[in-house]
Amino acid sequence: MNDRVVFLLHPSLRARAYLQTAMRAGLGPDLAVRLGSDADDAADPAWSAPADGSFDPRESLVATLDRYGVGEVQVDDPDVNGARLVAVLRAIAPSLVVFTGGGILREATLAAAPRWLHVHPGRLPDRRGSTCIHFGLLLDGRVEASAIFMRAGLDGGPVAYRRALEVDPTWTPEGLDHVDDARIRSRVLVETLCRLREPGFAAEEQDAGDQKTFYVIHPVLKHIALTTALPSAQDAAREETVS
Amino acid sequence: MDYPYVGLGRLSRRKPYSFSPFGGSAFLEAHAARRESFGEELRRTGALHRFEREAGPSAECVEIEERCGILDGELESAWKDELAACGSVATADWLERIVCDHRRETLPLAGDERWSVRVVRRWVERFEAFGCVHARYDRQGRRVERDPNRPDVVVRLAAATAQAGSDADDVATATIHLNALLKANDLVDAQWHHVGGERSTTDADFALMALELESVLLDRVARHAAAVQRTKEAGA
Repeated sequence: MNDRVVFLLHPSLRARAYLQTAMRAGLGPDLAVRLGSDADDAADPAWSAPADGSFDPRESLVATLDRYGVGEVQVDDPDVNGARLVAVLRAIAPSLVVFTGGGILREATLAAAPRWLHVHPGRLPDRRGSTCIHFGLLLDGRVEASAIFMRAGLDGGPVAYRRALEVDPTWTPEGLDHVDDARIRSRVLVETLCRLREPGFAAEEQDAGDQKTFYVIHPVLKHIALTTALPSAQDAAREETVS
Repeated sequence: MDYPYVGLGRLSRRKPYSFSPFGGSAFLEAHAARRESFGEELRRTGALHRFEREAGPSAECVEIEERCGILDGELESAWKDELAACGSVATADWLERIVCDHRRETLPLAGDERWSVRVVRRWVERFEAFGCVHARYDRQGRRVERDPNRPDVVVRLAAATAQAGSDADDVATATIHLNALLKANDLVDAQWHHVGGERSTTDADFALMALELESVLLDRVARHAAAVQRTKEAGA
């Protein structure tokens, strides 16, 4: 096996954030596997730029890879569990695959590499599920993200790194579903990649007794979370009252 | 603004909640108004009228406490707190009676005649993961018969979820149940108004119980979120 880090780039805003943020920090991949066609790698007009300028959502994955001279293998099928992807990963034999999203990985896919790194926007093991940014705001008044070495099942696997993030006044209600989510996760990804290089690094198994799964947040709870914890949402509500 | 999750579209879309747009305080007001109006409708057709006719609104708190004695220990400890928080004696007594009905009800799940915590958790997980719930599952959680979102099952799911949320010791667990309850109550409302067929008085009882407890749970979670913010601001 090579000591090789691969970014698995699903065509998404998050993948652009991960790649650009990691490259800027000097922690980019040795090789990228890019899922989907070149047409899939087009920006969605709805993607807005992050307030901190940490990445450019308009820059395609191909453009970033070219700019930094990172080699890529393109797999036309965007399915993260596709047979072609599994074959490509087996041929590359990476030591670590950074997962940028695109679906729930099957065991056969996970078996194609020894370690898969995923950043979950919630505190594990007790904040599982895809909308834990909002549940974190609701219950803790902040966001906590966890980087895990993935195993089969929702947000399972040993925790490599945890990070609590206080509310940033530039986060917006819309952004937390898209650009701010990508920004939070890419920041934690970079810190995790740094941590992996530290001597004596060890991941921590999740305590099965503490696990709690939060399913997709209902809009009422989402609104309570946002209007309670997010300054920009409170400003919007005040303006609404005045008008 | 109209509350958008109780229309015909709720019946055709099992999971309409991903990436829901932000509507500010107007959205929360629309939700509260819709629940209030549905609650009023249920009261006109269902439980509170029956209670008032049978037991009268003058029931004393001490009688409620005595009647609670028929419940088993688990329900008793949980519901005394809930009853104490109700404020209205009539509503409290009504809720207590619903609990008794609920305890006699046979759960439409194979091999389990009570809404145990384990069964409700399984039911909620199915509902959350698949956006629907079937009438019967076996002890391993496998679907026994395909019958998605039958209205009488959905209303019982809502009531059982409301009860489990009220029983929760910690706010995180209460929030998990409340999240499912909000979705189930949306579906109950949509089915009530857009699906034909007879409604039993028990269905109305369960629906109103689920709405009342949604309000109690929402208050609990909102107060928790506000307290967290106050603590943070005091620390800063």
